[in-house]
Amino acid sequence: MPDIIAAADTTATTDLLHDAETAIGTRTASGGGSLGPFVANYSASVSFSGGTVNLLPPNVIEIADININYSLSLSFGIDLNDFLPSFCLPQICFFGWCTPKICISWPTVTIPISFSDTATLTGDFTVTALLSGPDWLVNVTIDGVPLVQFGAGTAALLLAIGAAITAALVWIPFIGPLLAGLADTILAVIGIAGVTGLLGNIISPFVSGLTFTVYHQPKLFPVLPNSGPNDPEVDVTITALGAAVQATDKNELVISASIAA
Amino acid sequence: MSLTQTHHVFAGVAESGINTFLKALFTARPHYLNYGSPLFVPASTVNATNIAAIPFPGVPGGIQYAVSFSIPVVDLFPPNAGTLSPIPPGNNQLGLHTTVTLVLGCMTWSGRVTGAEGHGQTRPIVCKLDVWALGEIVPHYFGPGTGFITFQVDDVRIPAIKPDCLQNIIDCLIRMMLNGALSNVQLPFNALSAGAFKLILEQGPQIDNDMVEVWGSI
Repeated sequence: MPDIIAAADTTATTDLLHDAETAIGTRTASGGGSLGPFVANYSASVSFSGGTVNLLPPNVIEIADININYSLSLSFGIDLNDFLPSFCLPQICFFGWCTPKICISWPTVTIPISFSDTATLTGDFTVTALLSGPDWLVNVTIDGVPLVQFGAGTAALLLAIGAAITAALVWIPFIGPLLAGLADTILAVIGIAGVTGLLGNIISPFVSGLTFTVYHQPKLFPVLPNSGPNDPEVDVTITALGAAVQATDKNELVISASIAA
Repeated sequence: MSLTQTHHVFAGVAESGINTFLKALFTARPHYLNYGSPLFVPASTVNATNIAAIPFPGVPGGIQYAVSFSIPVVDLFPPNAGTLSPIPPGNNQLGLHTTVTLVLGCMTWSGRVTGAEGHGQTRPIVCKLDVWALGEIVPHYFGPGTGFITFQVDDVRIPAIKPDCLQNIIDCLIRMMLNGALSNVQLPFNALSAGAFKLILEQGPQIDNDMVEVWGSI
């Protein structure tokens, strides 16, 4: 028999999960990825919240609808010459003297976009107790490939890209009559598939191997704090720790510990 | 039957765990087990607690004495098979076994001696007694996540003492002393779950299945 047993039902385990999500805080990453035919550079910050727990013996926690709260700053370059016809001022002659033929080359424009939204994640997580350095942990780690759903976020990002294109190009001389058609053309080239692909590439590293720590205590566990010169801190050593999902009349996450003085 | 029953969380500390906590506590703070008047313990330290001598008219400096207990060993209900306790624990009770060492500063003096120090000779007389006790767990709850459990000694038996009237006196004396010593044992709720969660106490502590058990939510 272990020295200490702690059990949490589905409701309490959900609370422990939410605390673990808060403990993770906000994670950031940056890189580049395909946005349709374009290459986008991005920086992303992601945090997790919510989700409902289903305990599955012997060691699986199924978590549904974890919120992936993400904020993106991304940019990509557009060579307008790929989308707009060349534009030349014709040669004009006055009394034997002629102006040169001038062709306008469209610039390459960088489109900056800021976007925030929430996706949801559903997956099975494996429960593991382990000694990590001086601390005992109970981790729940995602298994395999999680299901991430972006929902309306992809369409919203596409709209944001359209607005950003318009804002970035409106200052270019002579582009006025072409602008609306140009934005539509670029959005069509990117498409929902392009947006989904980019979001997938950005979010995947955050959820791959995603681990929530629902128990974290030092191996040298403090029972009582120092409370004076004659009352030093009292510690016990957690010599072993186990974690599993047990099923009886209701399923529970059970953490068991052995201790030594 | 689930561990959490109708609650959301459960924490249980087995008899072995309680005894580990006691060993850790009394090893770190042995002054909770060792007491002596100035002749034996001139000043309180981490190892021993200074107490006053027993005043008695005509005894110079009062009666010097010391009391120390070995680290108590707890037996949670149901009692261990083959227990030698004359008062084994019943339902929701704990048994406790320790050794008390009583030391009397046996003083001899001549004539009228004044002053706290006295001018006689003192010879320590030592007596070790096997102590069996019966008690219960008492919770102190201050709100979500905060509180502790402590021990209360309800009865003591020292089989070696005869006649009965002397046994009653010594039993009561030791019960009071042991209660005082154990009042310093305060195991926080956080330790009962090895830090797994901050307990909102809803039921317990209860002693059963050789465990101290509590239920609640977080």
